[in-house]
Amino acid sequence: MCHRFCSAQFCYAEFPPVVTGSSAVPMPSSTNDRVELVDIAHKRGPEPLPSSPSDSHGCKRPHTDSAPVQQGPLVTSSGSSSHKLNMLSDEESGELPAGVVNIFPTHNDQSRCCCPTQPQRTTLASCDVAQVFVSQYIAENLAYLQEREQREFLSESPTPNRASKTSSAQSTLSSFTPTSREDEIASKLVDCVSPPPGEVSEAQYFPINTGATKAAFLEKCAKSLPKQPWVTAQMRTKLVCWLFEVTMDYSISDEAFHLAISILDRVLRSGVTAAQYQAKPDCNWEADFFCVRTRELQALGWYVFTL
Amino acid sequence: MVCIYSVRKRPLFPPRMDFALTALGIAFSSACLWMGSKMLDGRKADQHDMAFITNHSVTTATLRKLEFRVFRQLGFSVHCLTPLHYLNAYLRASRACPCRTCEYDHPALRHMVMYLLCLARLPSSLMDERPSLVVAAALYLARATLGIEDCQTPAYPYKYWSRTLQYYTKYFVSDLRRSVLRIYNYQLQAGCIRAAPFEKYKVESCLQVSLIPARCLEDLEFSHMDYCSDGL
Repeated sequence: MCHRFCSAQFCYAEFPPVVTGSSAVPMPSSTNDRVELVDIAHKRGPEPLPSSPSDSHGCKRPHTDSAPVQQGPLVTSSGSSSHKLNMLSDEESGELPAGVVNIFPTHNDQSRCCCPTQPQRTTLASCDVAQVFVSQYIAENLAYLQEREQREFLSESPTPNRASKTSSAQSTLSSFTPTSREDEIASKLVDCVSPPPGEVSEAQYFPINTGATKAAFLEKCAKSLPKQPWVTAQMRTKLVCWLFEVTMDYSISDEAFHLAISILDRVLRSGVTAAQYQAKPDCNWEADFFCVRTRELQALGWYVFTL
Repeated sequence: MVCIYSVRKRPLFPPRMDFALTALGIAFSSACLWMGSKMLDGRKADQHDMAFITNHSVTTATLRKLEFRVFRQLGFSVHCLTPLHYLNAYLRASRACPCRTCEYDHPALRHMVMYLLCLARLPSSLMDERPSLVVAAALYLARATLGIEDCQTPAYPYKYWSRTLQYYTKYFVSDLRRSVLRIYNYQLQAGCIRAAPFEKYKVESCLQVSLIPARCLEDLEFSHMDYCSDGL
């Protein structure tokens, strides 16, 4: 069977997972936390069907209520079990699926270490590897669900916006409703450039550094972000580039940069706008920000001149 | 008197509001960077430096006020997972090889993944993605760019991904497709738009990973994924 039919989605769609008796029994989660963690890890495993609905971001996540999958290759009538992608493992017994290398060696598992030259991990010796990954997944999932709840709550609650009181601004806001702009940007920019073969040089590798291409690229980014009708993707990109330059100049670590961008995205996603900021009685906007500087405004794409 | 006009013709937007929000973005980003530096760096950034980089359009008192504003907006829960939390584990899974014959650490892989992660911060379409998905996509694109293939038998359906990576990242290649293509767009355009990560990672100390040519779209092995009705 060729590689085209070896993807996990096709296999799971063609042959539904076989439910075993031992793993299909739901364990009481209140009595044992470890059982609950491993059970969640099992739920993450199987790939959804190609016809399954995707979430709001478009990325297809595995079904949370799907049945666990049997260990080992699935026995089917067509005999194509050698091409199954068997990603699940019995993490309670420490068994890894075939073809998977243990990247976290423990005391009892020296023979399966993939990096024999590296020193042994002693900090995680008493901690189960599966539990580390499951706890990471749960922490990530909790943050994701909390952000999603917050997003839905903010989208349902009426946010007072001073700019929306005027009719012209209202019509402008309604016309700039963000709908699937990431898909447009991602779909239209894929076939822009193909790298030339041969010698690598900057001038040769980027021959499209012309005004028209750059303007066309920036035009595709000129759409407003959700909950930020005044901020476009282009402005955010320039802001992140400027922050990266600052981290280079002041030798700020990459971790701090990524954390700063995460905080900034969360602030932008929470719907803080200039109108809301100005409406706060304890924050006098004009007294704080009336000092006009030109360099950063020009860096963000504005023409500033004095009369 | 100062007049501010937009490059793009959007006459319905009041210029004062645009200016307000532009300055608000600069001020908020400076405050966020200051917070991140204070939380994670050994030698934290000075608030006077943060005021200096805004050309003193934001004073230190305003910076502190904005910091409290960000804390109050986020409910004092500012710690969050970033893609760098997953980077070491995923790089280790990328280096693992069951036959132990081709097991080596590519010298440019970490720099390439870091470069692609910095590029992944630029598009707003990756704002809502999971950090583990972003770093897995960057790792896939880095392996494809550097030509790191899986030598396992029986062969994995996708040569730039392996069963070990799939097991530890819990992501199939079909999950990574959207994010990989979004990072790939910015990898192609990074030199054109003069992105700051491109300037940083083209030096010798970073092995000039930003000057390594990107793969063609056909080499990313996404062409046969036609069943996704997302228009890509």
